[in-house]
Amino acid sequence: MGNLPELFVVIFALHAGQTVVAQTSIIGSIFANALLVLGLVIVVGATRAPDSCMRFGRKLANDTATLLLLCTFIIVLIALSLASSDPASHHVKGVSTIGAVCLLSVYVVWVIPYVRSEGGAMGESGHAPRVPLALSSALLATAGVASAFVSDWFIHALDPAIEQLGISQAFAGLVIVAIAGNAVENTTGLVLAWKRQSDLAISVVKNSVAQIAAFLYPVLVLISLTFAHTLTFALAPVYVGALALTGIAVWQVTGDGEASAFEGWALVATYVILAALTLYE
Amino acid sequence: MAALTTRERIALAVVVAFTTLAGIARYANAKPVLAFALATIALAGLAYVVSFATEQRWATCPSCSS
Repeated sequence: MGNLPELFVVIFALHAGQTVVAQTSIIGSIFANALLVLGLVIVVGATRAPDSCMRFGRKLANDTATLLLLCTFIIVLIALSLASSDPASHHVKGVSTIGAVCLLSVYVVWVIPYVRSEGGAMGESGHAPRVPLALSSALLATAGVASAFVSDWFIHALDPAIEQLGISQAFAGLVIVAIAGNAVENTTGLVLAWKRQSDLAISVVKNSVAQIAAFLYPVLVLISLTFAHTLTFALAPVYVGALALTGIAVWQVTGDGEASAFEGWALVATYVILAALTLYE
Repeated sequence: MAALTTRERIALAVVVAFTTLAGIARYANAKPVLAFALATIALAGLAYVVSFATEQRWATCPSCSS
């Protein structure tokens, strides 16, 4: 639910015909979480660890890498089809729709047992609810409605602000929207890493990556079918390459259940290079 | 509101303030960069409120929030 404002931003961007902003916002969130935030969390976690090595469960790290790679597979396949102008390249919308349904199905199959096991673990650790259901429901409803309004204002101000600041639409979507939309995960992950709660810190960040790649993106692809400007898995070649390499880098860095500070810095550096590129897009 | 800590109440007040300012900037035709900055901060704050409320709902009633 932390991605609700982002969902509205993309919907309003598509409604306003700003497809570049919509697409870069989503993949920007994947890059921001998988490279920048994960990198910083690893740097903080490794620095705070007694032996300068952050250790965490391998299962979640590998599961989320699998979901990210599945999303990347669809994107790379469509990009190859478009680049080679094969017959399937005329049916990107159809292939994206089928890909979205497949991604969502796999995500649901993964997330249900995961939430159940996390719920059990939370119950055992004795985290008692503090806020009454009525108040939390009212907060959720109010913040949800407010998010929809603010997303509309955000998109309204985007074009003139971009013009005044002299930045590209890709930079706005990939960096500004992505970092603002994921501010909660960013802060929470870093605080948890600082408190040496490595498993939880990695879980917050990597769950967010999985949720955007395997849930939010396909849901938006399906929702956009009702709009004049549809969202598909067809991306600019530079982002396709960046996404594929991000999937591999994340799997390589976190797959063994431990990471040192330099690996975190490597992820951060990757993000900075990518952000610099989008300035000139 | 008594169930919230002082820090949470302050955070909520800040989010409400930025959301209101973003709305004013939108309808008062403020400078685009200012309106954009206020909306960006308000969005980040609202993401926090949504996450917090979801977490609390889930702790109270796991079947209500999935």
